[in-house]
Amino acid sequence: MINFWRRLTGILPTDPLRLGTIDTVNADNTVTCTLSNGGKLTVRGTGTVGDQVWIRDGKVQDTASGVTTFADQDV
Amino acid sequence: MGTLYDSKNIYDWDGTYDGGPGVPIGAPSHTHQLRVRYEKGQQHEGALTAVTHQAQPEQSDLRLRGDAGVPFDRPMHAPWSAITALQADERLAWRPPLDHESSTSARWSATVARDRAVRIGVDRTAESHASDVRARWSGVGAVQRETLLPWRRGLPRGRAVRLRSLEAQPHNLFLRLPWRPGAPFRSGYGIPYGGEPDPPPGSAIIVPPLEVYSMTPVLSILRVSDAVDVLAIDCSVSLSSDAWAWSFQASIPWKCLPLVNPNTHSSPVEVQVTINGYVWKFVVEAFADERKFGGTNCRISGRSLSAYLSADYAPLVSDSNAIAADASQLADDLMPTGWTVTWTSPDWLVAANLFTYADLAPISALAQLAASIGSIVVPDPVDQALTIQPTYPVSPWNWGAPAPADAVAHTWLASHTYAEGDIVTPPTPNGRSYIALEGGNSDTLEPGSWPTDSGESFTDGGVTWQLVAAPYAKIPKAFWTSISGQWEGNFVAGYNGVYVSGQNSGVSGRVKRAGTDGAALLPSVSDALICHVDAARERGRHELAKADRRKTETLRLPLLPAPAGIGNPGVLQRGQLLQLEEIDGTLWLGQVLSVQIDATRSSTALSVRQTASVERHA
Repeated sequence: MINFWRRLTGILPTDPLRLGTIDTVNADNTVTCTLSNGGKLTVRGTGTVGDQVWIRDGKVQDTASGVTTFADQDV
Repeated sequence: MGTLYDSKNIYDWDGTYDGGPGVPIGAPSHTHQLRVRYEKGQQHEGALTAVTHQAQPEQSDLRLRGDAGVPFDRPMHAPWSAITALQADERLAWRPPLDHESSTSARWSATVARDRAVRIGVDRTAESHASDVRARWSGVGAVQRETLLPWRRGLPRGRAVRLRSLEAQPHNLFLRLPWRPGAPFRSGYGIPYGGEPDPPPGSAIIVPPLEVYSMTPVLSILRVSDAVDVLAIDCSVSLSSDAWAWSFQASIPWKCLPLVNPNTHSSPVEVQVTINGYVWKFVVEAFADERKFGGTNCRISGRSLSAYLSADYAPLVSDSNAIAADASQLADDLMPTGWTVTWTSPDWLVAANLFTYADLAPISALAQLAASIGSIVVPDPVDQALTIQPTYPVSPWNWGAPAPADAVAHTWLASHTYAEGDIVTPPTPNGRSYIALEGGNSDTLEPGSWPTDSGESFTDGGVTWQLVAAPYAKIPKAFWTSISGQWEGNFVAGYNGVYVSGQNSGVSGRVKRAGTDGAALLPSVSDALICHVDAARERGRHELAKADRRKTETLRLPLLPAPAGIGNPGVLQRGQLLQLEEIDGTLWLGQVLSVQIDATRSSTALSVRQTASVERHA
């Protein structure tokens, strides 16, 4: 009845892909980003201040190009 | 000359009282003059009128006329009214004759007695001629006050027939009776019954609370190709919460194994499982057998036809959508010939090259597409058909309030006093009803809107209304045999927002619960396919619903014979909302997560039960 695979994967730690905007480019080859939910994160990688980047596993994975932001949606 | 006698008093001719048996009442001194004339009148009846007229100028006193008139008046009403007409202004004069003439009252009572006799006669007539009752009673009632009691006695019979139907008509205008299986109101009435009407579309299946639910369990497993019976001993059929195929296990006699042995057939063997009239088609994919002294065992298992879309039967494909297409269109494109997919979830335009996958079977690619917005793939038990539907067709916070199965809804009235638990429908029906969470007086104006998709309560004057839930079925406590619950620990119940983002060419933003600040955020989610706000919104709704505090209940129910419909929920489907009555009579709502049908055998007796996992949010 219960999907045990889903239950197992549900309790495994996951590190989701996060979308952030580079605030500062640090001297030690890291960047500090503001996440979409307002949080701050410093990760390895480079970029330009103001760029949107994908972050996973503590490093900038990619530049997030073409992502448009929508207004709050009520459900 | 003699003595004049009336019934009580005896007077001498000269008018003096000489000791009669009664008490002289108001015998004035001049009475003798009346008696004289009276005597004359009796002797010469023809001259009576003249004499009384002669008396008039001499006797201004009314009593003379009264005395004179009474004995002569055979038709009683005429003389009395004549006197009244003459002496309308002489009240004092009018009274003495009445007192004086006890014989007058005697006549009155005689009259009453006669009338009573008439009344009794009518009564008797009424009983013997029932068809004439109304006419006769109304005639008597208008004339005779004394018939009031018999008239009342007659009323209940008339009221039972006539007044009830008259009152029912205006009453019905305000009633909304929920559809439910019909039953004779009293067993004594032989109402010709033309069968059950179909329930209105969308209305809940109401399982009637009965002392006994009887069914004859039936199990058969036939090979589809030639309808050969494999003599199933028992069988279990289930659809788990995220599965895109039904699965089954069955015990069959070992001697029947060659009929379905997948190892010895060139193509997969399909079997048709029928339990209590409900049909599934399965592909036999595995078996296990045992031979030993004194017996053999054989169990077969498999999945429904959607297994043909899995990696076991279908080639793996890598693909990317070259042009932008709706998600439902992409799902259609995945299906091989002969398969259909019905998309009931929100649809959105997937930009080119976003839907891409590597080495996936069609069903896995479809599941990936559906999972991007939190939807599931629901297989058809028999046909080559799939349905994509949201995991939560209705968000748990919008389910609304449960209402008793026999609740009666009235049309909403302005400035009306409603008690807690009252149920109304809008004056312009919208198919939904609303239950009063708090009683009070309704507003003078109708609420501006009656929400059909929001379970949030709203106020109307002093009343707080909430949408009544529209479950698939309402199940009384008499119907389920057991419920076991398991609370999924989640102390953070207040999540009200989540950031959802696509990836390249995607959209990003926050989805939050209406009416909240959306500040209690879930971890962000992202999916490459979220390239439209509709997809983002649906995915966010799913994440918030999934994070809502919940309890999983496992119900055990009988499986009434097919077809499902009136009073019979049949095989429950994932995503269906159920309203259950708890052992203490309270009601709660839950959404079906998974379902399992077990046909088991103890010695030779077959027993069929349905087990359903239900997700409950309150």
